Amino acid sequence: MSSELTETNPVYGPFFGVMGAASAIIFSALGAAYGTAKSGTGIAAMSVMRPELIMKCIIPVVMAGIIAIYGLVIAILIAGNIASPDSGYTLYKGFLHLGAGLAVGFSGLAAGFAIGIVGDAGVRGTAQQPRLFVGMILILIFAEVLGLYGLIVAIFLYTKN
Amino acid sequence: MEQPQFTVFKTVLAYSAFILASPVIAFFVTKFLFFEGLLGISSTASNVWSAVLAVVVLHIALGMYIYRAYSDGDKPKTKPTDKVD
Repeated sequence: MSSELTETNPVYGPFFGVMGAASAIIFSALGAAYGTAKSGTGIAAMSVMRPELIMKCIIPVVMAGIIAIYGLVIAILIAGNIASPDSGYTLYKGFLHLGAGLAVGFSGLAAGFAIGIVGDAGVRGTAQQPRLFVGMILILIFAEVLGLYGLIVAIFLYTKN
Repeated sequence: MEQPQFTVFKTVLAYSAFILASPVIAFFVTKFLFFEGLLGISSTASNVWSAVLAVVVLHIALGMYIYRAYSDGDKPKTKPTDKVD
């Protein structure tokens, strides 16, 4: 038994890392699902009258999917680095991984909400006035970048030692 | 009559598959073949650079889709054939 674990390598150290990996993908997927569903209702309502615009209006759905990929990347990075405490996984690393997971998770949740609401209104508006499309894309990119900020912070936290 | 709709479906499907698959493929290919195989970088550094590269590839794919949708989507609609009677 590994009874000589110090207080820097406690047995509950990996719990924080595992929670970080889980929260990274859970909250990102929650935001992405909200974004997909909300903009999906907009697309469904819009394409009854203007079915030729579907190709343009899938873009909010694609961008919501990208939010989930951010969370997936961080979850894979963290999951590949979790080890048992007696092989050198410190409590500090667990905290870093929890912070990285929460950073990308909640940023993804926020970005997914923004993409969903903007996608819904933007798609409905684009059906009435096609020149709104450029504005919708710009607003969607600014919403998407919020998730990217979380990813950058998460990668910085992940690389700390 | 069904042809344009099927073409749009094929285009969207191809771009969606590309956007979903390209970052995952880029991550694992660059991590195991390039950074760890060729350059011999440590695990953490190769992880980080592969992740950065995967995100860059993802945004290139997204940009290609937006460009395609923007330039291709607003083609002037062909006038419906006049009814003959």
